[in-house]
Order: sequence, then structure tokens, then C-alpha cells
Amino acid sequence: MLKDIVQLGFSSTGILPPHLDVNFPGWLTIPSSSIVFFLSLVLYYISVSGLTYDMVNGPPAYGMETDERGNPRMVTIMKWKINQQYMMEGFSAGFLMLVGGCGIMVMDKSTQMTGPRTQMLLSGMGLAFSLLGFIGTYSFIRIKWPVYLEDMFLQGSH
Amino acid sequence: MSGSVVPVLGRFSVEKQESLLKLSILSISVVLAFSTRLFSVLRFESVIHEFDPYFNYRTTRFLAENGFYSFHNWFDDRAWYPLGRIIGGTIYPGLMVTASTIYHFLNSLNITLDVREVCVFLAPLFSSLTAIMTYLLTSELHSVGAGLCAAGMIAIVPGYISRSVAGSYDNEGIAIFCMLFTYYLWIKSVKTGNIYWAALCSVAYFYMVSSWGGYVFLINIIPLHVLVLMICGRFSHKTYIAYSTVYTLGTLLSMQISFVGFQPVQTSEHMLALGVFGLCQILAFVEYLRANMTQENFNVLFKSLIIIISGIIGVGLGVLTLSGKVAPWTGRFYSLLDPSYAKNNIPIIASVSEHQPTSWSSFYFDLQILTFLFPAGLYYCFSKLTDHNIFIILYGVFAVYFAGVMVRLMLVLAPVMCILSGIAVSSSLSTYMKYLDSSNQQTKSTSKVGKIKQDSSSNTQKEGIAYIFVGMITFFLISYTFHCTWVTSEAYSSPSIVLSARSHDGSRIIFDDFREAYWWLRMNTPEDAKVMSWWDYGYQITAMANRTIIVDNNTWNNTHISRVGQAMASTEDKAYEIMRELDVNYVLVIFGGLTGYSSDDINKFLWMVRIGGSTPEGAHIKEWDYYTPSGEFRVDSEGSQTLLNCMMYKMCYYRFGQVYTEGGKPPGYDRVRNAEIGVKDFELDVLEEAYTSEHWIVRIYKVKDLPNRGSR
Repeated sequence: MLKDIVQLGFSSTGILPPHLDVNFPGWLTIPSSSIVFFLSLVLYYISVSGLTYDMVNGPPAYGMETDERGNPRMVTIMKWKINQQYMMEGFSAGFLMLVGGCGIMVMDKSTQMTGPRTQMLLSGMGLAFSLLGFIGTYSFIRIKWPVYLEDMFLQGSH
Repeated sequence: MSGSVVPVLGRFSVEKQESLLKLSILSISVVLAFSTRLFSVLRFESVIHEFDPYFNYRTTRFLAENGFYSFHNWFDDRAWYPLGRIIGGTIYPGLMVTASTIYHFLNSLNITLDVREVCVFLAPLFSSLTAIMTYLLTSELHSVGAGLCAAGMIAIVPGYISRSVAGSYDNEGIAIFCMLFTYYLWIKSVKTGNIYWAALCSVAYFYMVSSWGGYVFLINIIPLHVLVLMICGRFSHKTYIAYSTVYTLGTLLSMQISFVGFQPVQTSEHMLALGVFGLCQILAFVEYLRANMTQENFNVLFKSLIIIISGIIGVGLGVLTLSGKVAPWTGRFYSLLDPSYAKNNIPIIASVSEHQPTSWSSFYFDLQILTFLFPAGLYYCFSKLTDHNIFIILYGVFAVYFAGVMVRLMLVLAPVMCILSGIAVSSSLSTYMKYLDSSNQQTKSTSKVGKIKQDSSSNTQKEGIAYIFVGMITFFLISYTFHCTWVTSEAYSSPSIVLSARSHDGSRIIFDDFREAYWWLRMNTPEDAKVMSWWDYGYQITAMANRTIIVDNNTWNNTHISRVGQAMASTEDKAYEIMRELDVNYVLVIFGGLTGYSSDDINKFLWMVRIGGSTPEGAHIKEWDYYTPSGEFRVDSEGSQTLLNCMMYKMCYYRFGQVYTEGGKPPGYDRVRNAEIGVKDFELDVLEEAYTSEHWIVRIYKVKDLPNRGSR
């Protein structure tokens, strides 16, 4: 295919085409489904951590505030603003979401393994990952929006 | 049908139990989808929310009263004075036609609902239909269990609720239903290869085009799906029949909408579909030739054809794009590919808060556990790749990317998140529930006597893990429902035309200032009065006050909006010239300093300055003149003199210097900017105050006529 294009190119200029053995390189093939899956997970991580937001608005990696005694303290999570974030906060939260998803994938893989020890280990890992993802993101959102899930049944004021 | 499964309902067979379960789950999802969107109707009243829905409501009223032909040929002279707006040719009519059809149908049955009620409740009705459509789509893609799961999830997902509450009468309310309907028919036609399904898919695509500008997403995902099938070597005659039918009929039908016109053959956004259509024909022709010729003849013909045709296409497309016949990607869609384009070049697109990129918390707020189940769903789809699974994978991945670029597109992501999460939950639960099925274990242990001990211990181990896993998934789903209900109730159910707050003793105060002021305008100004305000409020003023306005939310004319911005940002004399030029009689501003309402015009003022300074007539308006020397935007005595003398400042703070707003603070304390205003005692030269609403949120000023004698 490539050989014919090159020969056509040469012959159109009037030069005798040389004896070439040109081919597409061996590694240029359609990627396997695992590679495409991995790439789509990477794209998912990038989008969910808010990389586009970071690129356009350029927030700092973390914020600084001074406490009562005048010492500067690091603020990692921007409070009271649902559509704004610090960069580190975005990447950590995206990672937690990805880990939660991987937990369920690992739990499914563990059923395909033989041998009770491997199964036990893998399912334990999967459960831990999923719970970590869920509890982690829940804690983040509680810090970010302190009245999250309050006022559900009581008519309090905030 | 095994004897050890005890039928739950006595004499019913398993199939009947299954259908009963399916029907009850679907009916619960449908009722849930409708009822969870009714928070604002129960708390306030059935009123249309926000800004854009007021325009849709006004056009629907016109259509219901005057019929389709006068609606299609409508030229509106009460907006964008003195330019006017061709409404028939610049809207997507699907929403209005749907609402007025339902209105006429109900009235023909003598159920006399008003047009407003139909408009308010149309979006919840279509959400219920969306739940059913998600069930159908997911059961085609995977299994019935996944379908039921996805239907339950999409009934309450906050990302969809935010644009489809009762009262939010906007295009997205029906567009998501049309989109899923088109996808369902597309999957059906790819699976069966029937022209019947493909033709139905084109009709559904026509309905989608008539309802929302986001149809461009569909006309790019479907060809992309066909292209990926070609690359993976899965291109079959079924795909060929499906795509050829859908593309030809769909494009012809989509060009029937006046707003779309000839765009499907002229703009770059539609070129992928055309290219893939051509490629389909070439591939099918090549297969036909290969079946009917000898190998060497075929090789020669194939290679020469490829070279010639790709050369023609490449050169042709290049010539057409360079000569301008094929328009390049336009502003809004181009900013999806290059997110910094809008920020640097088109301030109007950049100023809309819905067009900002998304942060992680918006994803979590709108989707909660679906964000973890999405990768798991992708994993299950990748492990069993079929033609239709590839479609949902493509849709999911692209939707996640686009939702990351623009918050508004979270709406397009929500259905695919629900579908993939439904697949994940259903597949993982069915894998693990097998270990909890008691009859399975009995047959296993009686077959292999020698390995009883190992089997039973590993079985109990598996049973334990299965119990924990099922319990965990149940806990996740329960927390999902609590999250969704809380988010709907707290964040997405405010009508924004009526505000409410809690006073210090806990009772609720309702701020109905907007409707009060618009009704004052309607009752106390002459019929042909022209009102100037910032473009956010244009639709509401035409719909409720019924007066002619200068600029509205359509934002099609940047120069006109820039002129209004220059008037707001200049001193009174300069602004008076602009107002005389535009024949303005009244000026309307929104001021939140007394109540603490933060989306007022002073907070939007910098956008007025930027847009006002973006055209040649506004070249003297520079943004940094309005900041203090240290670079802050302040309204107190340290604010810049240009800001303290401009017309917007004077209109917002006229007579505000004598008002006490908070205990312990001096008079004239602005509760939004948290500062005491700089200039308190001033008089207006060219305006006089006409009306200020009860909580000072809307302030209306009358433009004084020219003085009787020469100079002022």
C-alpha cells in the first residue's frame, strides 16, 4: 500500500522509481481493547479531576490562611463553592473516584480466579478500594459543603 | 423452573413473576421521576423559572393562540429594538409544538388546563418517559436487569433534574428524551439491519433536531460509531444499511427546520457524517467488487481507486474550507475543542456561568456513586465487546470529556452514566448473587463426595464475600437516593424568580420583587415604552411586562449588547446620548445590596465593561479604569472615580445612602460587597426614579425628555 503510493509519487515526476521495500512500521496496528480501556480510564481521570477547569482558570495548588495565632496554615479544599476547586483537591478526588471504580472491577476479576487464597485477597482488596472511594469522596464533600445532607428531616436553620 | 425456588406469589409462574416485577419497578421509577421534580411547585406555586423558559412560554402562548403558520412566519418587533427578531427562523420549534399539541389535545377532551400549567409540567412528564426509554435502551445494550437499574437511577439523577424540574420549561427537558429515543432506534437498526428501524431512527432524529441545538452531538457520535466499527473490522451489511438510511433520511428531514437550514451540508460540524457516509459507500463497493473479481484484477483496481479518491477528497475538502464554502467550527462548538478560545476571544460566551469548565465537586454533586460505577460499567462493556457496546463506550467517553469542558453538558453525561452504572450494578450483582443461591450449593456438594470439605469451606467463604458485597452495593444505592433527594430539594428547586430566605427568628421571607416590578411596568407605562436593561432580564420583561426591550438572552447581536454595556458604564451625559439614540424610555437595574442577593447588576458590572469595550465605539472604556490603583474592585470611598461616577453605580445606589441595612453598620452598607458605599448624597441629572420594589431588588428609572430650551 505504502509502496504503491511512493512509486506513484516518483513516477509522476518522471524519475524511474527505485526498488524500494517500504512498509508501515510493525508497531502501527489497531490497539487492543485493553489498551483502549486503559486510555479511556486515563481520559476519565483527567476529566473528572477538573483538568480543563485548572487549565482555564488556573487556581493555586492549595490555599493559605492564617489561624488564631498567626501561623500560616494550608487549606486544601475550597469551602462553600461547588464549582471551584484547588488543583490538588481536584486530582485527589478524581483519584478516589477512579479507585472506587477499580474496586468493583477487581471484585469481578476475583470471581474468575481459582484458588481460595487469591480469591480472598482480591475480594478483600476490591472491597477496600470501593469503600475507600465512597468514604473518601463523602468526607471531601462534607468538608467542602458543611451542610451536606443536613436538614434532611429536620427544619433547622443554616 | 426449579422446584426449590419458592414462588413468592403463590400460583404465579416465574415468567409472570418476572413481568410483574418489571412492571412494578418501571411504574415506581416513572412515578418517582415525576414526583421528585415537584419540590418548587409545592413550596411556591406553579410558576415558570429562570430566564430562557419565559421566552419559550411566550412563544408557546403565541403558537397556541395563533396557529402554526403565523408562528412560523412571526417577526417580533418587541425585542432587540430597533432591529427586531425573526422568531420563526431562529428557534428550535419542537418544544413549543409539543406543548401546544398536548394543550390542544387536553382541551379537546375538555380538560381545560391553561398553557402555563402544560408548560410547567411538561418537563417532569418527559422525564418519566425518559426513564422508560432508558430501560428500553439498556435492555437492548445489555440485559433486562441492567435496564431496570438504569431506569431507577435516571429517574432521580441530579444532573438531569437540574434542567427538568417542574417550571424549568426549556429545550433540554424534551431533548434528552428525544436523544435516548434516537439512540434506542439506532441500536435496534444496527442490531437488525432493517430499513424499518433505520427509517424510524431518522424520524426520531428529526424530532431531536427540532428540539435542541445539541443534536450536533448525535450527528457526530453516530458516524463516529460507524467509523470505529470499520476500523475494528466489524463493518457488516447491517451497519451499512442502517447508516445509509439514517444519514440520508435524517439529513433531509433535519433541513426542514428553518433554523438548521443548509447547515448540514455547509458547516464543519456535519462534515464527519458526510465523510463517513462516503466511506461506507466505498467500503461496500469494494466488498462487492472483491466478491465478483479475480484477486489480481481486484488488487490493481483497489489500489488505484483508493489513491485517486483520497486525493480528490483531500484536495476538494481543502479547497472548500480555504475558500470559505464550508464554514469552520463556530464559536460555541469550537470552545469545546479549545477551552481557552472563548475566554480570550468571545466574552459573551465566557461570561455565561453554565459555559465554565467543570470541577470535581460538580461531578460528585450531580452524580455521586455513578462516578465510581461508570469505570466499572466501561470494564463490563469492554470485556464483552459487541457492535452496540462500542456505541455506548464511545458515547460515554466523549460525554465525560465534554462534560469536563462545560458544566452545561453534564446533562448529556447523566444518561450514559446511568446506563453504564446500571450495567455495572446488574452484572456485578448477578455474578455474586449466584453464590447466595442455595439450590446451586446443594447440587454441587452432592456431586463430588471427595472434595466436600474444600468445596463447602470455599463455598461459605464465597457466600460471606457475596453477602458483604451485596450489602455494600445496597448501602451505596440507598445513599444515592438520599443524596439525590437532598440535592434536588436544596439546590435545584429554586424558581429564581421568587427568592426566599430565613430571617433570624427562623421564619421564611419571600422576595417576590421581580414579578412585582414587572407587573408595575405592565400597568403603569405606555404600551410602546422601550425598556433598557442588561440582557439577562430581556425574556422576563417581554413575557411578563409585555414591553419592548433593547437586548435579550438570545445574544445574537454583540454590537447591540455592547452599546447597552457602554451606556451602563459611561457617565450620565454620554449614556444619555446612547439612550436617546436607542429611544429608551425606562431603564431597569437589579440591585441586591439591601437583601444580600448576590446575582445583581453590580456583580455583573465587569462583564458589562468588558463587553462594552469590545467594539470600536466603546474603545474609550477600559476595564482597569474601574479598579482601584491596587487592582481591586471596590464600591466604597476607595473605589475608582470612573466607577463611582458611572450610570450603573448611580442607578443602583440612588437614595441608598440613607438606608440602614444591618444592625451595627453605618447607613448605605452594601450587604453583598460588604462595604459602605463611597458616594452617598447625589442627584440624578437625566433619569428620575420611577419605581423601586419592596426590597430594593428591582429599580426602574424613567429617562427624562430633552429640556425645553437650549442647554441644560
